[in-house]
This record gives sequence, structure tokens and C-alpha cells, in this order.
Amino acid sequence: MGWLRALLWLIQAQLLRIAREGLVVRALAWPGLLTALTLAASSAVVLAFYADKAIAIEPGHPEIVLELQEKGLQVQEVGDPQALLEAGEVPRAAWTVDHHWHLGTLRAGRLTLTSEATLRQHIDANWLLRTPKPGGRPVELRATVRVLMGMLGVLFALYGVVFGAASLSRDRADGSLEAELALPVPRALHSLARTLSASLALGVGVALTVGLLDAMLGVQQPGAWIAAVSLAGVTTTALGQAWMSAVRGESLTGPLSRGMTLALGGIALGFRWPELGRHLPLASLGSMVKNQGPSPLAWALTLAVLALSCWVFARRTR
Amino acid sequence: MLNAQGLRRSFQDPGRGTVIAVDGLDLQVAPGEIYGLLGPNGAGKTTTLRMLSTLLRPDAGSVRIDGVDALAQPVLARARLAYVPAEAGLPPRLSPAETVALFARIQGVQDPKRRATELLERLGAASFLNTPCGQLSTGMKRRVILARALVHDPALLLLDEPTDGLDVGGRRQILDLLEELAAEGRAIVLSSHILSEVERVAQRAGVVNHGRKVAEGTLKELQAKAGNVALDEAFLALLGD
Repeated sequence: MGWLRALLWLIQAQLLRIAREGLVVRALAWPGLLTALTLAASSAVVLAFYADKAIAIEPGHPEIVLELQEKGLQVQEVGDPQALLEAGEVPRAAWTVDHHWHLGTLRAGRLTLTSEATLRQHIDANWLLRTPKPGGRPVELRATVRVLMGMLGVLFALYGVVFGAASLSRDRADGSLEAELALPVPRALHSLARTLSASLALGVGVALTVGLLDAMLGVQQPGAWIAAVSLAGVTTTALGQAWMSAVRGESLTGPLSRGMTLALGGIALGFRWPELGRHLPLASLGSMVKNQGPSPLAWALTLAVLALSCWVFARRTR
Repeated sequence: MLNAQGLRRSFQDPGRGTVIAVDGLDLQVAPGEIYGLLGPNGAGKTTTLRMLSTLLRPDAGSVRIDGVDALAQPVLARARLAYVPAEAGLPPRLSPAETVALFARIQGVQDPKRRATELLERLGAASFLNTPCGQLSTGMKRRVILARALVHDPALLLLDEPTDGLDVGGRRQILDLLEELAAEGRAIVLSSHILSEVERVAQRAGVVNHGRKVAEGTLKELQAKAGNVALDEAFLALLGD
């Protein structure tokens, strides 16, 4: 009970330090915010340049005009719609030649297909085009979102290496580590508190990012994504810390580069062999891109990595 | 209070092979006593203190602190001591009040905030309770580090160059405080290479060189051993280099 209380206080102190390090907070907030801003900017560009709802149509077809308007198009009745289209003044135009309807377009897209469907229905064509409004987000977007989530996950996993190694390096450099190690608690508790606090901070960043992207694009299995990225974050934080504990007299760059290389290798393994990767820490993040969530074995192995990191810290940290 | 026997510790150095940092050191310090650990740089003082504080496991020897076997029960031993390393630091973004209170909480001290405030006030850091530690002067940091070490009322204090980097006034305040703490019954091991400090506060001292204790006794006994010369000359004579 006493050690559990000590663990909670150590975690609180570490979290306080993380919260006051502006760089860390910004690093955690940026991936989600930057992605959301980029998506919002892209949407604005698409809306500004590609969402022109205009259609020019020759006069004398009030039923078609009414139906197109009901479907959200802005109808302009003009004498020569084809000329307007060819002048680039409207993205689509409809006119008749010898009682045959022509639909001209400068831009493919849903509104053009809707115009075609309306015309086909009006002339009672042999085959009709149906353009029902989608109930959810397009299926083809899912793969793109998975890749985007995977990239953000990799970023958070690399953050874990930095958090694990740099916090230890920082505390060695400012001389606060040795005083903390002299406290009457097992050394492994310090390691556990450091890893858990960094993982908690990472977890908050991951959850915010997944939530933001889910709101904007729709993330399939958001819970599984949070789990996969957080597991990878715990693993990389533990690895970064273990590597930094094990080296003596070496600067931060060695453990960082080794930790990052291992993290990327592990994630790539899961991406290449998702069936295998979903059972392994780190690799389960790569598998998640292929829609394979982490298995219970991956959770268990992540705990084993955490325990190993605590053991290395207790044995090697000076 | 402190009884260390036959402490030995060696390291592997890529350039020099096996280096024996401490070789068969014995040390006894009684409650209320200030013991000066003297020696040149690299003599093995810091390694000795790190072994006594359980941060470093000796290759051989034993350490008992307040009756507790520090090698068998390091956590229990650490509850009875405070170790202030020479390069002790503070988390730059936490305030002195937060830092000291954190240590108090982990040590199970009742009313940790009040205890932290009292100690910091006693050590003259009352005006800086909520200032981030990174903005404190060297002297003020030293006071906060001492307050943090004393927060659980330890029976044994292990201090490695505690006045390093302090001006004359700051040094005097720390030494006065050490005398007060010893008067309260604490055993203190003071490692220093500043002879005048040890001369002022220590009842006994040990001279360490190349990891071995080359002399021990009251300061008068050390001077007598070296031929009744001034303390700094006695120190050099005892080192024998």
C-alpha cells in the first residue's frame, strides 16, 4: 500500500514536470492539430474551387429545372448553355440537339452525376442512374484514414523513445536523479513511475488525435487504434528508458537512434506480416494499419517489456 | 549509528582496466557526531558515500545503519538516511515547496506541505517557496536540497561537498546548520576537501587516499600523527604522495 502511494506520487511529480515542459505538451498536441488543420485547409480549397453547383440549361424545361434545384443545383436558364460551358463560365450544362439531350461537363463529380440521373429519368431512358446520398463516409476513405492513423501512430511511438531516454538523461544532467534514487522505495518503482507517466501523457495525446480525426474523417475502430498506439508508446518509452539506463557515459543520441530504429523495425514487421504482428508489441501498430488490432498476447508482451525495462533500470541506472 | 566494515568497490575502466576505487574501508560514526571524510579528488570519497547510501553495491564489506543491514535491506536503510550528492540538483520546473513536499509524501511524512514549508523557512528559503527551482541561485538551491534531504528527519546524513559553490556567508550558514543537526542527535558524514570546514565542525575525521583510509582520529590526533604541523600540512603529510 505504501509503495503504491509512493508510485502515485512519483507519477504525479513526473506528470507535473511533463505538463510544465511546453515543448512536450506542444509535441503531443501538434500531430492531431496539424493534421486537422491540414484537412480543414484542404476541404476549404476543395469547397472553394470544386464545389461549384451551377448548371446551365436551355429554357423551356421547367420540370427539369425544378428537379435539379431540389437536388441542390443552381440552375441558370440561358439561350446557349454549350457556349457558356465551353467558355468555362459554368462547370456543367445541358441542352438538346434534334431532341437529344446533351450533358456537358468540365468536372466530374457527384453533382454532375446527379444532373445526368435527372435528365435520364426525365426522358425515361433505357437505363437510369441512381445517386442516393451516402449514409456514412465513403468506404474508399477508410484505407486512407488507416494509413494516416498509422503515420501518426509511428510519430507517437517515436515520441515514446524520446520521452523514455530524454527524461532520464535530463534528470541525470540536472542532478535530480540520484536524490530520487536515494528515496526509500525500490528502484524499479522509479522506472515504473517514469514509464507510466510518459505513457499517460502520450495516451492523452493519442486519444485527442484519434478523437479529432474520427470527428473529421471517421476512424474505424477508434478504441483499437488508441490501444495499439498506446501499447506502442508504452513499449517505446520503456525501451528508450532501458537503453538510456544501460549506457554509461554515452550521450542521448546513441540510445535514441537505436530505440527509434528498433521501433520502426518492429512497426514495419507488423505492417508486412499483420497476422504475426498483432501478437507483438510495436508490430501490433503496423498490423493495425492492415485492420488487425492488438491481441491479448501483445498486451501481455508489452507488460513484459515494461517489467524488463524496470529490471534494467534497477540494475544499471547510476 | 553507522558501522561500515571492509568496504571495497572496483570499476572497469576502458583505459585503465580494473580500478579499485575503495579498498577495505572501515567507518564508524556515532549519533550526534560529525565525521569528516577528507581526501584529494579521486580518493574514493564519493564512491564511499554512494555505497553507504545504498546507491552503489560494494563488491565486499558490510554496512549497518541504525542497526539495519543496508545491503540486505536497502530500502529500510534508506528510510533512515539522507544522501546529498556533490552534484545534487533540483527539477528546474518544480518549486522548492513542491519538491520538498513530494519527498515528504513518498517518505510518509504527516502533513507534508506544512513540513516542507517549515523546513524551507528554517533554512532561509521562505521567500522562494513557489519559485521554480531552475530560477534559484546556487546557494538557495543548496538550501532546498538540504531541506529535501532532511524532510523525513533522518538519523544519518551523508553529505558530499555540501558547501560547493557557496559564498562565505552561505557556507557559514550551512556549517551552522550541520552543528544544529548534530546537536539534535543526528550522525553526519561530511565529505570535503576544504580542511577549514572539517576543522570547524567535525569531531573526528578520516583521511582517504587511493581508496584506503590512511589516517583517522580527532583533528588534533591527526595533526599529532603528522608531527604537530598545521592541518593542511598534516593532511599532505598523511596522504604521503
